[in-house]
Amino acid sequence: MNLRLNIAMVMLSLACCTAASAQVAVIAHNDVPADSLTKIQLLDFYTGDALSWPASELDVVVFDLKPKGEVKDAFYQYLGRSSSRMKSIWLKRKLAGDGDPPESFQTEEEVVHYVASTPGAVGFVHTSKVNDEVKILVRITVDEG
Amino acid sequence: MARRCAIVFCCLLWLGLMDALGQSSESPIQTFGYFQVIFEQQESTDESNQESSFSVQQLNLLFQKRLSRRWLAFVNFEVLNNFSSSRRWGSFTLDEAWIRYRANRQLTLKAGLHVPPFNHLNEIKNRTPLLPYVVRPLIYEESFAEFIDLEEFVPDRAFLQLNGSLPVGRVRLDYAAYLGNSPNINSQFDNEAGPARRQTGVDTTRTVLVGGRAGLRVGEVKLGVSATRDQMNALREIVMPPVEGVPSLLEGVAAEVFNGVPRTRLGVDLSLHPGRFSFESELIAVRYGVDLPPELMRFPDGRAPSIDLDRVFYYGTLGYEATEDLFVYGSYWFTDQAFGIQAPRRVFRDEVDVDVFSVGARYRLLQDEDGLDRVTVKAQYAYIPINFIAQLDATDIRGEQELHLFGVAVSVTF
Repeated sequence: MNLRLNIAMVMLSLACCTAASAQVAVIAHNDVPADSLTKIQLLDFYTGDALSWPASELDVVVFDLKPKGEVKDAFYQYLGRSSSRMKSIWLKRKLAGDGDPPESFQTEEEVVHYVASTPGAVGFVHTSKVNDEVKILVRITVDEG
Repeated sequence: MARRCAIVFCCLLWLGLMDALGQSSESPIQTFGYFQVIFEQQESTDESNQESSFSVQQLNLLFQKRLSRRWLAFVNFEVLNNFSSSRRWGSFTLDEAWIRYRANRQLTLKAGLHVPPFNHLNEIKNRTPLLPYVVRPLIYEESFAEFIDLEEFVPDRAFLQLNGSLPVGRVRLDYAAYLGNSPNINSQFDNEAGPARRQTGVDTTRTVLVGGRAGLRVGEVKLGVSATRDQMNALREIVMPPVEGVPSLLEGVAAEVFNGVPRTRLGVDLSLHPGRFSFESELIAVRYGVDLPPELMRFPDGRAPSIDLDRVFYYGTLGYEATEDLFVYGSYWFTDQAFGIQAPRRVFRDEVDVDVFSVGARYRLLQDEDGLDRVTVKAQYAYIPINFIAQLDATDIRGEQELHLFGVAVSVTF
């Protein structure tokens, strides 16, 4: 009986480990003229290809996270670009006069605060950090198993 | 046609300017720049070329001011090769001075001196922090401009440009069209006569450079075709070095034949970034339409002589991001330059083929708070076999030389 229980516990633990995932929310200022974004639209924002919201004159303001971690990794993995590649893209844009890199913050709380207070802003944080002052445009789930 | 294009450009710019008058979101002027200091060692197998030297290969000072939401002014001063006016070393150049109006992602207008898009590298060739090389693929190596006529391969200056990107599903269609001066720039300053009789730095003909690039991007795959067309005067002086015996072949087919010679540059570029790998390559072909009119021929059998000035350049670089900060690559470049004349009973050919096999690495040493590179170090080794062919009638001289080049560099962005 004990053996069966132990096996069941081990199986359950393995299942939990396999299902462990990073839940990332792409958040935006409440007044942006969109309720969702496709991956390509999001990539266009973060590579500087698109400077305004779709069908709108409102400028996009992109925020990033400074520290490397599972949220940042999950977000760029979702976009299909490595962090290193994004740096190259932004350095190229800066030196060509095409724009400055996204302003980045140390904490996810700061990202939420600045997205909530900046018209046109978009950022990404763990879903647990989201509050009513921002709206969620994309939910990203990245399995880590 | 070109004049009409210029008029349309100016009208569009004027409309943009009117639009800007209603907006005022000026930002402070931004000053930034970068430089690359190198140590380079060259050795040739025949010991005719042994040198090792430190140098400030390139320094660029950039000034940028956002004039309004859609308008941006940009100035770039470039300093090359340990520049010193008192020692007459290197050069100091106004590389870019332009204003840009961005209507939307589909339409951007640029007016003023700028480096036009041609293939992948041309527009960013002088942005050394973006490139992993100590010595760039030959025709893009600005520090070699004193002894290689880089502009023969790629356009270096344009003055009006219209470009944009059209999203079609997952595909991005990029386009750029530009106008610039023909290569017939007056650079003669007559010291003995006092001030210059004619203004230097201006195109002394009514012809223009017309060029463009069309490309597509799908994810991390980028493919494009580029072309320019202009007309060269004084091709004989610019391209043809004084070689003993050659003038006799060209007697009677001189000046006017070598004026207004159409030059066409064609390019194809491809770049991919699958996972940690990257691959970039370009092919450029330059064609000159030198037609020798029958009335100028002095050869008895009536067969038209031909002149071959065509050039080809290729580079391909395969890279791998070993870590987030370390990038390693292997690269191959090929340059073929020929000057040949085939006339009845006379043949002259002067051809130089340069192959470059190169390996190198770049390491990000220091980054700013946004994660952009501040200091990177680079190292590169290149093996360069060079083949010469010089033929005058029945005399055929062939030679080869091998060069080994080792370079290290520190690239700093400030």
